Amino acid sequence: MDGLPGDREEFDAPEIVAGDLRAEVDGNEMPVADPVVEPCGRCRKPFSALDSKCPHCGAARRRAEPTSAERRQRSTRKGTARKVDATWGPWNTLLVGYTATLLTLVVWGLIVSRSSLLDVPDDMARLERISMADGVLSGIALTTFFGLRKQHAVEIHPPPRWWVVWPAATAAMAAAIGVNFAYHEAMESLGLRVIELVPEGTEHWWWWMASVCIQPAIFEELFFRGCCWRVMTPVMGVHTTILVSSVMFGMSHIGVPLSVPVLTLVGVVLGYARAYSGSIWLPAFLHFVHNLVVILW
Amino acid sequence: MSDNDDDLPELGSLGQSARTKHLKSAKTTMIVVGILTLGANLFMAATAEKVVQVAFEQELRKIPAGQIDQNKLAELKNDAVRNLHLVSFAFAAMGVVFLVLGFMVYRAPVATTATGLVLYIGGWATSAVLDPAMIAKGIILKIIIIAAMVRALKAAIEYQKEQQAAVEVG
Repeated sequence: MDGLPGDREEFDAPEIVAGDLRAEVDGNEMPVADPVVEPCGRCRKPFSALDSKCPHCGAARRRAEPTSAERRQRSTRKGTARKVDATWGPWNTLLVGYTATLLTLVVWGLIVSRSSLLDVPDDMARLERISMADGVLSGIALTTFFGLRKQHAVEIHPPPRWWVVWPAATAAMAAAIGVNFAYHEAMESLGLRVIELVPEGTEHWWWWMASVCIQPAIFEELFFRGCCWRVMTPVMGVHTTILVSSVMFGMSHIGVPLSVPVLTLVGVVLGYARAYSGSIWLPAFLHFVHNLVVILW
Repeated sequence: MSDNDDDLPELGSLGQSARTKHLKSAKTTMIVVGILTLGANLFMAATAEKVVQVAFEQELRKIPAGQIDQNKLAELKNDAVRNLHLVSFAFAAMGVVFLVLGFMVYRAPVATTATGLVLYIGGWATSAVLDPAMIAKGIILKIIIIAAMVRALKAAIEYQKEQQAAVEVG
Protein backbone atom coordinates (compact mmCIF):
# COMPACT_ATOMS: atom_id res chain seq x y z
CA MET A 1 0.00 0.00 0.00
CA ASP A 2 1.32 3.42 -0.93
CA GLY A 3 2.06 5.62 1.95
CA LEU A 4 -0.14 8.66 2.24
CA PRO A 5 1.45 11.97 3.12
CA GLY A 6 1.60 12.16 6.85
CA ASP A 7 2.01 8.43 7.35
CA ARG A 8 4.51 7.55 10.04
CA GLU A 9 6.59 5.44 7.65
CA GLU A 10 7.41 8.43 5.44
CA PHE A 11 9.85 10.17 7.76
CA ASP A 12 12.11 9.24 10.54
CA ALA A 13 10.62 10.51 13.70
CA PRO A 14 13.30 11.64 16.16
CA GLU A 15 13.52 9.68 19.30
CA ILE A 16 11.94 11.71 22.03
CA VAL A 17 13.26 11.20 25.48
CA ALA A 18 10.72 11.76 28.20
CA GLY A 19 11.52 15.09 29.77
CA ASP A 20 12.77 16.78 26.56
CA LEU A 21 10.74 19.78 25.53
CA ARG A 22 12.36 20.17 22.16
CA ALA A 23 13.78 17.80 19.59
CA GLU A 24 15.85 18.57 16.56
CA VAL A 25 14.44 17.80 13.13
CA ASP A 26 16.74 18.46 10.19
CA GLY A 27 18.77 20.80 12.33
CA ASN A 28 15.79 23.03 13.26
CA GLU A 29 14.37 23.12 16.72
CA MET A 30 10.66 22.54 16.86
CA PRO A 31 8.28 22.09 19.77
CA VAL A 32 7.19 18.58 20.55
CA ALA A 33 3.97 17.93 22.37
CA ASP A 34 4.96 15.58 25.17
CA PRO A 35 2.11 14.78 27.49
CA VAL A 36 4.36 13.15 30.06
CA VAL A 37 6.47 16.27 30.66
CA GLU A 38 5.30 18.72 33.29
CA PRO A 39 7.00 21.66 35.00
CA CYS A 40 8.31 21.13 38.51
CA GLY A 41 6.21 22.67 41.25
CA ARG A 42 9.30 24.28 42.85
CA CYS A 43 11.90 25.10 40.16
CA ARG A 44 9.44 24.99 37.19
CA LYS A 45 11.98 23.07 35.08
CA PRO A 46 10.42 20.28 32.98
CA PHE A 47 10.68 16.70 34.10
CA SER A 48 9.00 13.42 33.29
CA ALA A 49 5.72 12.64 34.95
CA LEU A 50 7.04 9.13 35.47
CA ASP A 51 9.67 10.40 37.93
CA SER A 52 8.62 10.78 41.53
CA LYS A 53 11.20 13.54 42.16
CA CYS A 54 12.47 16.44 40.11
CA PRO A 55 15.97 15.61 38.71
CA HIS A 56 16.94 19.31 38.91
CA CYS A 57 16.01 20.31 42.45
CA GLY A 58 14.94 17.03 44.00
CA ALA A 59 11.49 18.28 44.96
CA ALA A 60 8.73 15.69 45.34
CA ARG A 61 6.25 15.59 42.48
CA ARG A 62 3.34 17.99 42.80
CA ARG A 63 1.26 19.95 40.33
CA ALA A 64 2.76 23.35 39.54
CA GLU A 65 0.63 26.37 40.34
CA PRO A 66 -0.12 28.32 37.17
CA THR A 67 2.07 31.37 36.66
CA SER A 68 0.45 34.79 36.31
CA ALA A 69 1.04 34.59 32.55
CA GLU A 70 -0.72 31.22 32.42
CA ARG A 71 -3.60 32.60 34.49
CA ARG A 72 -3.89 35.52 32.08
CA GLN A 73 -3.91 33.14 29.15
CA ARG A 74 -6.64 31.03 30.79
CA SER A 75 -8.78 34.08 31.53
CA THR A 76 -8.34 35.21 27.92
CA ARG A 77 -9.55 31.79 26.78
CA LYS A 78 -12.60 32.14 29.00
CA GLY A 79 -13.12 35.63 27.60
CA THR A 80 -12.89 34.27 24.08
CA ALA A 81 -15.44 31.63 24.92
CA ARG A 82 -17.77 34.30 26.23
CA LYS A 83 -17.24 36.37 23.12
CA VAL A 84 -18.55 33.48 21.03
CA ASP A 85 -22.01 34.71 21.97
CA ALA A 86 -21.19 37.94 20.19
CA THR A 87 -24.74 38.57 19.00
CA TRP A 88 -26.28 38.57 22.45
CA GLY A 89 -23.43 40.39 24.27
CA PRO A 90 -24.29 43.92 23.07
CA TRP A 91 -27.99 43.35 23.77
CA ASN A 92 -27.09 42.22 27.26
CA THR A 93 -25.05 45.40 27.84
CA LEU A 94 -27.89 47.57 26.53
CA LEU A 95 -30.59 45.87 28.61
CA VAL A 96 -28.44 46.00 31.77
CA GLY A 97 -27.85 49.73 31.16
CA TYR A 98 -31.56 50.33 30.59
CA THR A 99 -32.58 48.36 33.68
CA ALA A 100 -29.98 50.24 35.75
CA THR A 101 -31.44 53.53 34.49
CA LEU A 102 -34.98 52.50 35.45
CA LEU A 103 -33.80 51.15 38.80
CA THR A 104 -32.02 54.43 39.57
CA LEU A 105 -35.20 56.34 38.75
CA VAL A 106 -37.35 54.04 40.91
CA VAL A 107 -34.94 54.23 43.87
CA TRP A 108 -34.65 57.99 43.46
CA GLY A 109 -38.46 58.30 43.33
CA LEU A 110 -38.78 56.20 46.48
CA ILE A 111 -36.14 58.20 48.35
CA VAL A 112 -37.79 61.48 47.37
CA SER A 113 -41.31 60.32 48.26
CA ARG A 114 -40.27 58.71 51.58
CA SER A 115 -37.92 61.41 52.85
CA SER A 116 -37.61 65.16 52.94
CA LEU A 117 -34.74 65.00 50.47
CA LEU A 118 -36.18 67.63 48.14
CA ASP A 119 -38.37 69.27 50.76
CA VAL A 120 -35.83 71.98 51.46
CA PRO A 121 -36.45 75.70 51.16
CA ASP A 122 -33.04 76.35 49.62
CA ASP A 123 -33.16 76.10 45.84
CA MET A 124 -29.45 75.35 45.65
CA ALA A 125 -29.74 72.42 48.08
CA ARG A 126 -32.49 70.88 45.92
CA LEU A 127 -30.39 71.33 42.81
CA GLU A 128 -27.40 69.66 44.44
CA ARG A 129 -29.52 66.61 45.29
CA ILE A 130 -31.12 66.42 41.85
CA SER A 131 -27.66 66.70 40.28
CA MET A 132 -26.56 63.62 42.23
CA ALA A 133 -29.24 61.54 40.46
CA ASP A 134 -28.26 63.16 37.15
CA GLY A 135 -24.66 62.15 37.82
CA VAL A 136 -25.61 58.49 38.36
CA LEU A 137 -27.74 58.44 35.20
CA SER A 138 -24.96 60.08 33.19
CA GLY A 139 -22.50 57.49 34.51
CA ILE A 140 -24.78 54.64 33.42
CA ALA A 141 -25.17 56.16 29.94
CA LEU A 142 -21.41 56.67 29.57
CA THR A 143 -20.57 53.17 30.84
CA THR A 144 -23.04 51.60 28.42
CA PHE A 145 -21.75 53.75 25.57
CA PHE A 146 -18.14 52.75 26.15
CA GLY A 147 -19.19 49.13 26.69
CA LEU A 148 -20.62 49.22 23.16
CA ARG A 149 -17.78 51.16 21.55
CA LYS A 150 -16.92 48.28 19.20
CA GLN A 151 -20.43 48.09 17.80
CA HIS A 152 -21.31 50.03 14.67
CA ALA A 153 -24.71 51.38 13.75
CA VAL A 154 -26.25 50.86 10.34
CA GLU A 155 -26.76 54.18 8.55
CA ILE A 156 -29.08 55.27 5.77
CA HIS A 157 -27.30 55.40 2.40
CA PRO A 158 -26.89 57.77 0.74
CA PRO A 159 -27.17 60.25 3.64
CA PRO A 160 -29.63 63.05 2.84
CA ARG A 161 -28.32 66.62 2.64
CA TRP A 162 -27.94 68.37 6.00
CA TRP A 163 -29.60 71.56 4.77
CA VAL A 164 -32.75 69.53 4.11
CA VAL A 165 -32.59 67.36 7.23
CA TRP A 166 -31.94 70.02 9.87
CA PRO A 167 -34.85 72.36 8.91
CA ALA A 168 -37.21 69.41 8.35
CA ALA A 169 -36.32 67.88 11.72
CA THR A 170 -36.70 71.25 13.45
CA ALA A 171 -40.16 71.64 11.91
CA ALA A 172 -41.09 68.11 13.02
CA MET A 173 -39.88 68.89 16.55
CA ALA A 174 -41.94 72.11 16.57
CA ALA A 175 -44.99 70.00 15.69
CA ALA A 176 -44.11 67.50 18.44
CA ILE A 177 -43.79 70.33 20.96
CA GLY A 178 -47.24 71.53 19.87
CA VAL A 179 -48.66 68.05 20.42
CA ASN A 180 -46.93 67.92 23.81
CA PHE A 181 -48.58 71.19 24.91
CA ALA A 182 -51.99 70.16 23.59
CA TYR A 183 -51.69 66.81 25.41
CA HIS A 184 -50.79 68.42 28.72
CA GLU A 185 -53.56 71.03 28.31
CA ALA A 186 -56.00 68.15 27.84
CA MET A 187 -54.63 66.39 30.93
CA GLU A 188 -55.00 69.58 33.00
CA SER A 189 -58.54 70.06 31.74
CA LEU A 190 -59.29 66.55 33.07
CA GLY A 191 -58.14 67.78 36.47
CA LEU A 192 -54.78 65.98 36.47
CA ARG A 193 -51.82 67.76 37.98
CA VAL A 194 -48.92 68.33 35.62
CA ILE A 195 -45.53 68.42 37.36
CA GLU A 196 -43.61 71.72 37.19
CA LEU A 197 -40.04 70.92 36.19
CA VAL A 198 -38.48 74.19 37.33
CA PRO A 199 -39.73 76.24 40.31
CA GLU A 200 -40.96 79.75 39.49
CA GLY A 201 -38.67 82.65 40.38
CA THR A 202 -35.57 80.50 40.86
CA GLU A 203 -32.27 82.31 41.28
CA HIS A 204 -30.24 79.43 39.83
CA TRP A 205 -31.77 79.41 36.42
CA TRP A 206 -28.58 78.29 34.66
CA TRP A 207 -28.15 75.25 36.87
CA TRP A 208 -31.77 74.24 36.33
CA MET A 209 -31.24 74.61 32.60
CA ALA A 210 -28.12 72.43 32.78
CA SER A 211 -30.01 69.81 34.76
CA VAL A 212 -33.22 69.78 32.69
CA CYS A 213 -31.95 70.71 29.21
CA ILE A 214 -28.23 70.01 28.76
CA GLN A 215 -27.73 66.80 30.75
CA PRO A 216 -30.67 64.93 29.11
CA ALA A 217 -29.78 66.28 25.67
CA ILE A 218 -26.31 64.78 25.92
CA PHE A 219 -26.68 61.61 27.96
CA GLU A 220 -30.18 60.47 26.97
CA GLU A 221 -29.23 60.92 23.33
CA LEU A 222 -25.98 59.05 23.94
CA PHE A 223 -28.00 56.15 25.33
CA PHE A 224 -31.16 56.08 23.19
CA ARG A 225 -29.81 57.32 19.88
CA GLY A 226 -26.23 56.12 20.42
CA CYS A 227 -26.21 52.81 22.30
CA CYS A 228 -29.63 51.57 21.12
CA TRP A 229 -28.69 52.46 17.58
CA ARG A 230 -25.43 50.52 17.69
CA VAL A 231 -27.09 47.39 19.06
CA MET A 232 -30.43 47.37 17.27
CA THR A 233 -29.87 48.65 13.72
CA PRO A 234 -27.69 45.70 12.60
CA VAL A 235 -30.47 43.29 13.60
CA MET A 236 -33.73 45.20 13.15
CA GLY A 237 -33.01 47.93 10.64
CA VAL A 238 -33.46 51.66 11.08
CA HIS A 239 -37.24 52.12 11.26
CA THR A 240 -37.91 49.33 13.78
CA THR A 241 -34.99 50.61 15.86
CA ILE A 242 -36.62 54.05 15.93
CA LEU A 243 -39.86 52.49 17.18
CA VAL A 244 -38.28 50.32 19.90
CA SER A 245 -35.80 52.99 21.09
CA SER A 246 -38.68 55.51 21.27
CA VAL A 247 -40.67 53.16 23.50
CA MET A 248 -37.56 52.78 25.68
CA PHE A 249 -37.11 56.56 25.72
CA GLY A 250 -40.76 57.13 26.69
CA MET A 251 -40.73 54.46 29.40
CA SER A 252 -37.56 55.91 30.91
CA HIS A 253 -39.53 59.03 31.91
CA ILE A 254 -41.31 57.22 34.72
CA GLY A 255 -40.76 60.24 36.97
CA VAL A 256 -43.47 61.95 34.89
CA PRO A 257 -45.75 58.98 34.03
CA LEU A 258 -48.44 61.18 32.46
CA SER A 259 -45.96 62.33 29.83
CA VAL A 260 -44.80 58.86 28.73
CA PRO A 261 -47.08 58.60 25.62
CA VAL A 262 -46.21 62.03 24.26
CA LEU A 263 -42.50 61.56 25.02
CA THR A 264 -42.58 58.33 23.02
CA LEU A 265 -43.78 60.44 20.10
CA VAL A 266 -40.97 62.94 20.73
CA GLY A 267 -38.61 59.94 20.73
CA VAL A 268 -39.83 58.99 17.24
CA VAL A 269 -39.03 62.50 15.96
CA LEU A 270 -35.58 62.38 17.60
CA GLY A 271 -35.04 58.90 16.15
CA TYR A 272 -35.77 60.03 12.60
CA ALA A 273 -33.52 63.06 13.16
CA ARG A 274 -30.75 60.61 14.13
CA ALA A 275 -31.46 58.36 11.16
CA TYR A 276 -31.41 61.06 8.49
CA SER A 277 -28.62 63.20 9.96
CA GLY A 278 -26.28 60.24 10.57
CA SER A 279 -25.13 61.47 14.01
CA ILE A 280 -26.51 62.31 17.45
CA TRP A 281 -25.78 66.06 17.15
CA LEU A 282 -29.13 66.90 15.58
CA PRO A 283 -31.26 64.88 18.05
CA ALA A 284 -29.19 66.32 20.94
CA PHE A 285 -29.87 69.84 19.68
CA LEU A 286 -33.59 69.11 19.20
CA HIS A 287 -33.83 67.47 22.62
CA PHE A 288 -32.23 70.57 24.18
CA VAL A 289 -34.67 72.85 22.32
CA HIS A 290 -37.67 70.68 23.33
CA ASN A 291 -36.77 70.73 27.03
CA LEU A 292 -35.92 74.44 26.94
CA VAL A 293 -39.30 75.32 25.40
CA VAL A 294 -41.07 73.11 27.95
CA ILE A 295 -39.44 74.83 30.94
CA LEU A 296 -39.80 78.34 29.51
CA TRP A 297 -43.51 78.04 28.68
CA MET B 1 -21.46 12.41 -1.03
CA SER B 2 -21.71 10.61 2.20
CA ASP B 3 -24.67 10.27 4.46
CA ASN B 4 -23.04 12.71 6.85
CA ASP B 5 -23.47 15.55 4.39
CA ASP B 6 -27.18 14.87 4.19
CA ASP B 7 -27.34 15.13 7.95
CA LEU B 8 -25.94 18.69 8.08
CA PRO B 9 -29.18 20.55 7.34
CA GLU B 10 -30.84 18.44 10.02
CA LEU B 11 -28.42 19.86 12.59
CA GLY B 12 -29.28 23.41 11.47
CA SER B 13 -32.99 22.71 11.62
CA LEU B 14 -32.58 21.40 15.16
CA GLY B 15 -31.31 24.78 16.28
CA GLN B 16 -34.02 26.51 14.31
CA SER B 17 -36.74 24.36 15.83
CA ALA B 18 -35.38 25.26 19.29
CA ARG B 19 -35.60 28.93 18.38
CA THR B 20 -39.09 28.50 16.96
CA LYS B 21 -40.02 26.86 20.25
CA HIS B 22 -38.69 29.91 22.14
CA LEU B 23 -40.63 32.21 19.85
CA LYS B 24 -43.75 30.17 20.48
CA SER B 25 -43.19 30.47 24.23
CA ALA B 26 -42.63 34.23 23.76
CA LYS B 27 -45.95 34.43 21.93
CA THR B 28 -47.69 32.52 24.70
CA THR B 29 -46.00 34.63 27.41
CA MET B 30 -46.96 37.91 25.80
CA ILE B 31 -50.54 36.83 25.15
CA VAL B 32 -50.94 35.57 28.73
CA VAL B 33 -49.37 38.76 30.14
CA GLY B 34 -51.61 40.80 27.84
CA ILE B 35 -54.79 38.99 28.89
CA LEU B 36 -53.88 39.21 32.60
CA THR B 37 -52.93 42.89 32.39
CA LEU B 38 -56.02 43.77 30.38
CA GLY B 39 -58.39 41.73 32.55
CA ALA B 40 -56.97 42.87 35.90
CA ASN B 41 -56.97 46.54 34.93
CA LEU B 42 -60.44 46.50 33.39
CA PHE B 43 -61.68 44.87 36.59
CA MET B 44 -59.84 47.56 38.60
CA ALA B 45 -61.43 50.30 36.47
CA ALA B 46 -64.88 48.76 36.89
CA THR B 47 -64.55 48.55 40.67
CA ALA B 48 -62.62 51.81 41.13
CA GLU B 49 -65.39 53.58 43.05
CA LYS B 50 -65.80 50.66 45.45
CA VAL B 51 -62.03 50.37 45.98
CA VAL B 52 -61.74 54.11 46.72
CA GLN B 53 -64.78 53.97 49.04
CA VAL B 54 -63.24 51.13 51.07
CA ALA B 55 -59.86 52.89 51.28
CA PHE B 56 -61.50 56.16 52.38
CA GLU B 57 -63.61 54.41 55.02
CA GLN B 58 -60.48 52.83 56.51
CA GLU B 59 -58.80 56.22 56.73
CA LEU B 60 -61.91 57.98 58.05
CA ARG B 61 -62.16 55.61 61.01
CA LYS B 62 -58.97 57.20 62.36
CA ILE B 63 -60.46 60.74 62.25
CA PRO B 64 -63.22 62.01 64.59
CA ALA B 65 -66.50 62.51 62.62
CA GLY B 66 -66.92 66.20 63.43
CA GLN B 67 -63.58 67.16 61.87
CA ILE B 68 -64.47 66.00 58.36
CA ASP B 69 -65.37 68.51 55.66
CA GLN B 70 -67.86 66.56 53.50
CA ASN B 71 -67.40 68.79 50.42
CA LYS B 72 -63.63 68.38 50.56
CA LEU B 73 -64.06 64.64 51.10
CA ALA B 74 -66.30 64.27 48.03
CA GLU B 75 -63.78 66.21 45.97
CA LEU B 76 -60.91 64.00 47.15
CA LYS B 77 -62.93 60.85 46.37
CA ASN B 78 -63.68 62.08 42.85
CA ASP B 79 -59.99 62.83 42.28
CA ALA B 80 -58.97 59.41 43.57
CA VAL B 81 -61.53 57.61 41.37
CA ARG B 82 -60.46 59.59 38.29
CA ASN B 83 -56.76 58.88 38.91
CA LEU B 84 -57.47 55.19 39.44
CA HIS B 85 -59.51 55.08 36.22
CA LEU B 86 -56.69 56.75 34.32
CA VAL B 87 -54.00 54.41 35.66
CA SER B 88 -56.19 51.34 35.05
CA PHE B 89 -57.03 52.31 31.48
CA ALA B 90 -53.37 53.15 30.75
CA PHE B 91 -52.24 49.72 31.97
CA ALA B 92 -55.19 48.04 30.16
CA ALA B 93 -53.95 49.73 26.97
CA MET B 94 -50.53 48.25 27.71
CA GLY B 95 -52.23 44.85 27.96
CA VAL B 96 -53.71 45.35 24.48
CA VAL B 97 -50.23 46.25 23.19
CA PHE B 98 -48.89 43.00 24.68
CA LEU B 99 -51.63 41.05 22.89
CA VAL B 100 -50.84 42.73 19.58
CA LEU B 101 -47.12 42.06 20.06
CA GLY B 102 -47.86 38.44 20.92
CA PHE B 103 -49.81 37.92 17.71
CA MET B 104 -47.08 39.61 15.65
CA VAL B 105 -44.13 37.61 17.04
CA TYR B 106 -43.49 35.65 13.83
CA ARG B 107 -43.79 38.70 11.61
CA ALA B 108 -41.12 40.78 13.40
CA PRO B 109 -39.54 38.58 16.09
CA VAL B 110 -36.85 40.92 17.45
CA ALA B 111 -38.95 44.07 17.36
CA THR B 112 -41.92 42.49 19.15
CA THR B 113 -39.92 40.63 21.81
CA ALA B 114 -37.67 43.66 22.48
CA THR B 115 -40.68 45.99 22.73
CA GLY B 116 -42.48 43.50 24.97
CA LEU B 117 -39.48 43.20 27.28
CA VAL B 118 -38.94 46.96 27.44
CA LEU B 119 -42.66 47.57 28.07
CA TYR B 120 -42.79 44.92 30.78
CA ILE B 121 -39.72 46.25 32.65
CA GLY B 122 -40.90 49.84 32.14
CA GLY B 123 -44.42 48.97 33.31
CA TRP B 124 -43.00 47.34 36.43
CA ALA B 125 -40.87 50.43 37.12
CA THR B 126 -43.82 52.77 36.54
CA SER B 127 -46.08 50.81 38.87
CA ALA B 128 -43.24 50.84 41.45
CA VAL B 129 -43.04 54.63 41.23
CA LEU B 130 -46.83 54.97 41.60
CA ASP B 131 -47.04 52.42 44.42
CA PRO B 132 -43.76 51.19 46.00
CA ALA B 133 -45.48 48.01 47.23
CA MET B 134 -45.66 46.89 43.59
CA ILE B 135 -41.88 46.27 43.52
CA ALA B 136 -42.18 43.14 45.64
CA LYS B 137 -45.71 42.10 44.65
CA GLY B 138 -45.50 38.89 42.56
CA ILE B 139 -41.75 39.37 42.15
CA ILE B 140 -41.05 35.68 41.38
CA LEU B 141 -43.65 35.59 38.62
CA LYS B 142 -42.30 38.86 37.23
CA ILE B 143 -38.74 37.52 37.19
CA ILE B 144 -39.92 34.33 35.44
CA ILE B 145 -41.73 36.40 32.81
CA ILE B 146 -38.65 38.61 32.26
CA ALA B 147 -36.39 35.53 31.99
CA ALA B 148 -38.78 33.99 29.44
CA MET B 149 -38.82 37.18 27.43
CA VAL B 150 -35.01 37.51 27.53
CA ARG B 151 -34.72 33.94 26.22
CA ALA B 152 -37.28 34.75 23.57
CA LEU B 153 -35.34 37.86 22.54
CA LYS B 154 -32.14 35.79 22.25
CA ALA B 155 -33.97 33.25 20.11
CA ALA B 156 -35.55 36.01 18.03
CA ILE B 157 -32.17 37.59 17.27
CA GLU B 158 -30.80 34.24 16.08
CA TYR B 159 -33.99 33.49 14.15
CA GLN B 160 -33.92 36.85 12.37
CA LYS B 161 -30.21 36.47 11.54
CA GLU B 162 -30.90 33.06 9.99
CA GLN B 163 -33.80 34.50 8.00
CA GLN B 164 -31.58 37.32 6.74
CA ALA B 165 -28.83 34.85 5.81
CA ALA B 166 -31.36 32.66 3.98
CA VAL B 167 -32.62 35.67 2.01
CA GLU B 168 -29.05 36.69 1.09
CA VAL B 169 -28.16 33.15 -0.02
CA GLY B 170 -31.44 32.56 -1.83
